[in-house]
Amino acid sequence: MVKLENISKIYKNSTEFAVNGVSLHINKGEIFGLLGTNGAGKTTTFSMLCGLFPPTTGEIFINNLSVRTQISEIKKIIGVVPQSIALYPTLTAKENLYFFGKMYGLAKNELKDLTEHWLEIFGLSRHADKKIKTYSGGMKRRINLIAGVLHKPDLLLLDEPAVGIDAHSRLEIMQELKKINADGTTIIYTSHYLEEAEKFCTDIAIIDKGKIITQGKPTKLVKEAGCTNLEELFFTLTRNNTNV
Amino acid sequence: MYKLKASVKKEFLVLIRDIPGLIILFVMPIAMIIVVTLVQDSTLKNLSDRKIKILYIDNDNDILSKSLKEGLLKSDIFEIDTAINTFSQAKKEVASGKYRIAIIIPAGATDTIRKNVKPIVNNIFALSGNKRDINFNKLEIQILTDPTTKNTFRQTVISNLQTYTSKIETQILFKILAEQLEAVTGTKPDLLDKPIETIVFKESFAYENETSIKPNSTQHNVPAWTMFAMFFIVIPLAGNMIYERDNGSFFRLLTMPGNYLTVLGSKTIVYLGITFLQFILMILAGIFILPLFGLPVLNLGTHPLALMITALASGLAAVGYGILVGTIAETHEQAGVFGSVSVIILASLGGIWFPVYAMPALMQKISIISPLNWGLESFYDIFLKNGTVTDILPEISALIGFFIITIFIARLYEGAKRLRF
Repeated sequence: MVKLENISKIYKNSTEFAVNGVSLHINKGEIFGLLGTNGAGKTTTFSMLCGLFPPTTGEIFINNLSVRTQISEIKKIIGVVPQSIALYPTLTAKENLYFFGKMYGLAKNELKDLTEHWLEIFGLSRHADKKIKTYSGGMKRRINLIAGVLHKPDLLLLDEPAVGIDAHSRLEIMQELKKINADGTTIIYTSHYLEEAEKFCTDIAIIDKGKIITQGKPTKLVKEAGCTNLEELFFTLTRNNTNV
Repeated sequence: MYKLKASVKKEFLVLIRDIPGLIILFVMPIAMIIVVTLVQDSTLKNLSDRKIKILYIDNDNDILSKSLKEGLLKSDIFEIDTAINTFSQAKKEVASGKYRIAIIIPAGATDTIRKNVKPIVNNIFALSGNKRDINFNKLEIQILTDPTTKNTFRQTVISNLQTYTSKIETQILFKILAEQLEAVTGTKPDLLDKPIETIVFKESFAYENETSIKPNSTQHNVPAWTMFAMFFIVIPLAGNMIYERDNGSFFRLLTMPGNYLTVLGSKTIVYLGITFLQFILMILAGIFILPLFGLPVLNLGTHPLALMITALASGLAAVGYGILVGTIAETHEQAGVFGSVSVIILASLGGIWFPVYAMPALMQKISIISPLNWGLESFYDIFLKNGTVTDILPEISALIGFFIITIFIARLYEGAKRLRF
């Protein structure tokens, strides 16, 4: 489904690699966690996957389409949930979702049904006509997520989708994401929450200083390294990498 | 089209729910147009439209003072007050600011002129050997002015006084000459006791097309402040773009199928609609609100189509500028400060505050770089010269060209910005 072939990125006016020789292969139906500390290269990789800017070297393929040359086709099959609440605060939840749905080309009736469906699932139906600025943090996060999944994308790219919200809302969002994945959507997810990633992801990669330092199934990686959980593995690996 | 329609609807909803933004866009320009037109009205009015109050002290009480008073009154520029009789009192009144100017005609002023003119006439009739050197007596008419009075005002009064006194001098000369002729020939000449005015000045405004529209504060301020208000759209428009970038919705839009021009297109349509609405409101203010304050009614000229085209082209130029500032500025502060200061500079250059013809030569040349000037000139052509669509084509082309260039640069800059990563 997603192939990153030795991609590197050096930002202009910088001599250091933000991403350095990353190769990944993500199969259809996976929930893939890209984990790392701040500045490790997660967001750069995420932005290149979205086609926001091209890698300096290397190639990214999504459904065998090149991000470099076929981004228009790729945009139709991906859904993106940015870390920030990328919504219009003075519009209602419904108005926001109608707008983003229409930008994905969803027809009016279909869009209406899908909006009602998702608002119902996330328990926001009775708040549908309220302006986003009146929502709590957790409610905003849920609408932010719906805006990315409304058009049933083949690949969902999530950048810290549950950051800054309470445990209850986070759990609810993660459960819904599992359902979305079960319905056939591949998910690539970046997070700081290692415990959550361990439970949620089928596969993970840990990125540090722009390089992938390990990848595989979380349970298998933890076991092989003789650690008790993913958090311990993460600290061990990133510490070792720092010492190097 | 479907996406453009959705984007237009979103822009519209975002805009109408931004109350402070709407105040900037609609209430502020209307308030400005009323205040500035009221303030500028007296400045822009012709001197003939209002009378200058003069304190007139007549110690002569003869032909000179009477004719001078008559002449000043006849000119329709001055209003004469003769309530005060002494110099010291007059000085007090002017110093206190009650009168801007006082004219004191000394006692025996007419006699002094007579005494000066007589030797001239005698010399005319004397044989060449009998001509005598003439020593003229000085006649001093005192003028007291308020020190705060503008130079131009003082000069207007003084030049009027000079005109009347020299006329009266000539009249007296003719009168004495007539008396001498009568003594020589025995008959009184008919014409010489009447003032001779063979040269008269007829002033009118030059227009290419026949019109009776007179330039006044309303005719200047309504189009001027309409242009200013339109360009002030840079603040909410650039702010809207920066907000979208900051909160991530622009990022989300970039990851969606569709063209960046759809985003710009929807902003252009909505904000162009706003500028057109501003134009309509300003026109209505010129027709219905300004007259309530005793200001002249706005005259729209005779070509409404040309007027609409000017409004749309000016709106496009303003929107293009707003999009460019919104693309280049990184923060709200940058957009706010640069946007407002640049619009004020362009407005100053464009003749919004101060007419271009009254600027120094260099500034007049520079003024043509301001799109606000192009729009204003086009409005002037329509309002004051009954200009047609053909007449305003150069300005309209410049405004539309400006819009295309700004959008092109914004598009290019946005692309380059992403390549910078």
